[in-house]
Amino acid sequence: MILPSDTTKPIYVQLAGWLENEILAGNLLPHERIFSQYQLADMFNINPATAAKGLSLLLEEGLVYKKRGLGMFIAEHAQEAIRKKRREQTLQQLIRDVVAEADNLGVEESELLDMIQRAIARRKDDSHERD
Amino acid sequence: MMYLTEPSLKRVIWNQYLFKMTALPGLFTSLILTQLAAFALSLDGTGGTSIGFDTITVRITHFSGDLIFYFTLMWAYIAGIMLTIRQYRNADFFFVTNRWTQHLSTIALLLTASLYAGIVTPLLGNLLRLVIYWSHPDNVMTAIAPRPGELLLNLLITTWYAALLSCFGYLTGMLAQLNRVFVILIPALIIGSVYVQDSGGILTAAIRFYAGETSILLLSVKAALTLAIVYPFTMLITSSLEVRR
Amino acid sequence: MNVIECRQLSKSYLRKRALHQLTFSIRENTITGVIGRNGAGKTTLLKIIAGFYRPSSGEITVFSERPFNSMKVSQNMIYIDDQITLPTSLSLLDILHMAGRFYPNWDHDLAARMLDYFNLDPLQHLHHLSKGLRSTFLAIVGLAARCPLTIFDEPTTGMDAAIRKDFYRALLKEYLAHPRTILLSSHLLHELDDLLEDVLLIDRGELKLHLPVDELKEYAVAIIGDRELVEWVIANRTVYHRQQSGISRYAAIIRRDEDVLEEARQHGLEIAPVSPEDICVYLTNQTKGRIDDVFDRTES
Repeated sequence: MILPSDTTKPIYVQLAGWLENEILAGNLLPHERIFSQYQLADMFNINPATAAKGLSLLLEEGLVYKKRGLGMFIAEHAQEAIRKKRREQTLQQLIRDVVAEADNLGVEESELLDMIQRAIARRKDDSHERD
Repeated sequence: MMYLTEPSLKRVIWNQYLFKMTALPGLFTSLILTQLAAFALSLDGTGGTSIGFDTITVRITHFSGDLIFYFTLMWAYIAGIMLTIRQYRNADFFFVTNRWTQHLSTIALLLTASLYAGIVTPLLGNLLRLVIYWSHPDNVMTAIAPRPGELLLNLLITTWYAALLSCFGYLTGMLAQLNRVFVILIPALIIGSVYVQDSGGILTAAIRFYAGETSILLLSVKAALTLAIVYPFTMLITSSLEVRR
Repeated sequence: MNVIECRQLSKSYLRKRALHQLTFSIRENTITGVIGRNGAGKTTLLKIIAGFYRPSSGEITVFSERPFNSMKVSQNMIYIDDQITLPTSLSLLDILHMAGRFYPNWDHDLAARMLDYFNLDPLQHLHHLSKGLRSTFLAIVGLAARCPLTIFDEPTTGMDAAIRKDFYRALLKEYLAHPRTILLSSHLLHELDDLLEDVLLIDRGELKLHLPVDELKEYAVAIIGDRELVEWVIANRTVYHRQQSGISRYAAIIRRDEDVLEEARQHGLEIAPVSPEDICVYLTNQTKGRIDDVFDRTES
């Protein structure tokens, strides 16, 4: 398995992101044992210490909990927590970036809002076509 | 600590010895070749005189296993040197060893080879006598049949001498490893001491110390003591040698 | 638990100072990359650790013992490089059997399977193999021995890219199944940076850096954009490298500093990461000027 190549973020951060995606997608359910650092190292061809770092990121955010001697397990409300976090952090950061870039390019506020609404509409159309 | 293994000196020396025995068959085959060469050369005789008066001429030719013996000693000396070359010593460190176990296993190898020489040389000498006898059926011969116990005696003598020579070879080789100077110095000393009047005495005295000995028991003691002094000396002076290419 | 402890370690020869006052320790069961230029002193250091060379001054202990002439160290350590020669009468299989006698953790099946996988004929002799296959075989021995301290000094010399990949994968799998302390020296840091846990950077006999790879990856950043603006933003910072590539792409590489980064972002400058390999190159730079200067001069 190869992690999507995002050279700006450290491997362990990318790994944590991948694990979060798995939780979001429902592939890892609450109270299930999450992959061990060794399994992750084997899966992604990385050093287990790096994998451990990725896991500890999840631990710090309370998305997983430790059971002594047994490993790490997905927390009860992990999925919701991740969704919430993504909405707040990631989306907020993206919005900040868009605003900054628009500013750099000299795009007016009204034009920017217009572009956003068009993008939303396009996405709605695409999802209607698929259904 | 993660499952650290406690090394067993005996096991390591034994394994190093086995390693060398399987990895260096050339040691023994070179002896065979050397002896065959000496054997072939001895067929012509190792000495002779001619006496003549009036109408009668007597030609006496000596045949002996001496040549084989001397060739064997030469082989032993060279074998001792050969085992000190870097390539062979470095190979030991690929596996498990330290400088002491390396020396001890090499010494064991040289002693084994010396014993091997000790067995084969007298036998070959005997074979030579037989061949000469059968190839010259009409001529007068003396001292063909070996005296009782002579074979065993020759075995012991040859073994000790081979052990001594290989020991000195080993010392020579190791000195050369310590400092390239010795590569020139030692042959120069040996050859030089034969010519120079005063020090000519040293080398011949040293040889006579062993060769002049008539008691096999005393020879054994002298040889054993020499080995017990020279080998440890060699080991000591080279205990800081690094494993270099 | 430190497997290797080094304090003010120095090694010098008649005229050359190979290592100077190295102080570091290596933790148990880690994979450490020993990185540096040719002649930096990597091999000297590794051979001192292996007990082949004696230090000139300073202290070094491996498994709490001085490695030179130590049976304990030799028993629990294996050193693999591309210069190893073994007596020519031994076949590959002989060497495997011999290794099995010396090393108690030896896994013969693993070695045999790996020989088969890499198409090595067990009855061949080492000196008949090409450089790449020789390295491959020696690497197999190094892995199968399962020594608590395993040292690989440029083990991939002569291996093509595909085999190197397999070797790194084999190393990782072995490490996961049977953890041990591994020292790996290589020129090809960019191939290793996912495999390593720590990096030891040696430059001209001195210890330049000893960091986890993750920290090394974030050690420096490149600020890219208009030249004057970039230079203004980085002001008095130490610059490891400057480069002009393209009309308006000027890059300056500095130590990561959040203040400077924020400043740069606000001015619309681009920020790019610097790979561990690049930062090691910049930190060990010893050329007079750049290679371009050699050519530019001849033009005038």
